[in-house]
Amino acid sequence: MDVKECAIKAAMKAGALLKDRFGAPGKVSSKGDEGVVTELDLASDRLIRDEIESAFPDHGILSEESPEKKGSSPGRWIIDPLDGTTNYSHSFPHFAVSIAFEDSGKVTFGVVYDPMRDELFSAEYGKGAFLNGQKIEVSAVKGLGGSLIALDFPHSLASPGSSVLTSFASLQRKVHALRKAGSAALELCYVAAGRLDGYWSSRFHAWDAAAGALILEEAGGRITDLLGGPFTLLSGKCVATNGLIHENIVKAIS
Amino acid sequence: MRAEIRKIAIETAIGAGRLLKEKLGGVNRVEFKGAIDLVTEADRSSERFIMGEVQKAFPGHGILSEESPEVVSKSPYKWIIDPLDGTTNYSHAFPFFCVSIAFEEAGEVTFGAVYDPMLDELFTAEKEKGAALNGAPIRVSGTNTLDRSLLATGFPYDLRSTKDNNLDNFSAFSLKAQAIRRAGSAALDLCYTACGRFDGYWEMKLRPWDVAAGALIVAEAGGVLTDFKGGPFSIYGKECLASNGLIHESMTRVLTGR
Repeated sequence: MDVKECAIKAAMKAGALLKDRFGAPGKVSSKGDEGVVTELDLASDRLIRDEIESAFPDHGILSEESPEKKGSSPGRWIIDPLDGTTNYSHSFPHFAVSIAFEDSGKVTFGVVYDPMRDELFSAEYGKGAFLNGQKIEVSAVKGLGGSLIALDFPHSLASPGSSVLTSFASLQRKVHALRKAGSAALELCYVAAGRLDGYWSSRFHAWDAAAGALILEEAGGRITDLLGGPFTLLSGKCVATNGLIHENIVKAIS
Repeated sequence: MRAEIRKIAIETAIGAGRLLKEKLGGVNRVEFKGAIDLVTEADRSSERFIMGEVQKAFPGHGILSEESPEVVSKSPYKWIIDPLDGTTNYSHAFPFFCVSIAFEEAGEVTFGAVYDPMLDELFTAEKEKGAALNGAPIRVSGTNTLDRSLLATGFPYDLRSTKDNNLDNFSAFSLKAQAIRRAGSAALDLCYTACGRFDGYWEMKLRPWDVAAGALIVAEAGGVLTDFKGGPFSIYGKECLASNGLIHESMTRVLTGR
């Protein structure tokens, strides 16, 4: 089994598990001031790690739900076994499994699977992005006025007059409409597929974005930090767009 | 007549939804109505289909639909139709939209159907007979505090031209709720509140066709609907606050700034 097969198999198996238990996950414990970890999140994590470890015992694994496993090879997997945990814990059907494969520090393959819609987004570096095997491209929307933009930010930052809220209000007046759906991995894939024209996030982790960022770039999109500078998985904040409206969004929120 | 009303409402909602889904790939020609409000060809086809079926089955009934002048009737019966709720989403192929069909008798909605063709989910309710999702009974959530609540809202189309634009409410709820979703379909937001996916939902400046079916579905699922102050809700009013009942008072407190 190669890396691609392993990633797709693990994402689909984990997605099937999540879908099977959808609607009855049970709220388990809180992590920090937001988000609910469910048993399913951990079960999905175990399932994916088992798939990877049996095929590639020497690879490293970075996952949201367990301590990092250092590998002896240059291969490292970056996993979010359930992106959109809050949604899942409320049975809001917008969540995904995200699996990326990094070779010597560079993501070379990524897959994001939405089991509710049975949609598998994938990309291999230099080879384009796909949804259920069909090539996808970002939208051709050129102006902010015609754009549908998703966003995410920590709620604690949304106090009246805060910079996040000011940016939100400023963007709201300039775009066609804003969406807040709660899954960074899916939002990046939706920009890649042209369903959204842009995504602005002030809170994500490496595992939320590793696969989605590659899928977006391979679909012709652009991802940077909030100021338009280089994006890294550790930057925690991003602007991701179809490329055409990128500068406009960076300007509108800064 | 009731069985026939139910049958026509459900069949046309599903039929129109499938038509929308089929046409989704080809969405690219849109016309502007007002500055921001989009209407697509699919919206019009969906409406033609529903109105045609309703008029064929019930030629004497009134019809209030988003995209056409009202068909006024002398009978006490009126169909209230949104042939495509979530038009903005649809125009971007963002998969969160639905068809909403309500049946009103002497000013009171007695049947409602909301169909999401992308997830193949049909929400229905009949006055005093409960609410269902794909035929299985649904109930609102049991979440009883705001900080564990997932809330939903929407922003009015005229937000560029008015200060009464919901941003203050959004900010206030952001600091109190577990999370807020803004998915862009009022009818589905109501249905998701009815089946417990959302714990509460508020929006202003809605039209009757946005909420007629969804409001009955919430009420029949055990939820509560009022205006922002906690006063009586009307589908012809301008404010909609819907919740599982348990967090309702907390929500009116936030909305009235108390």
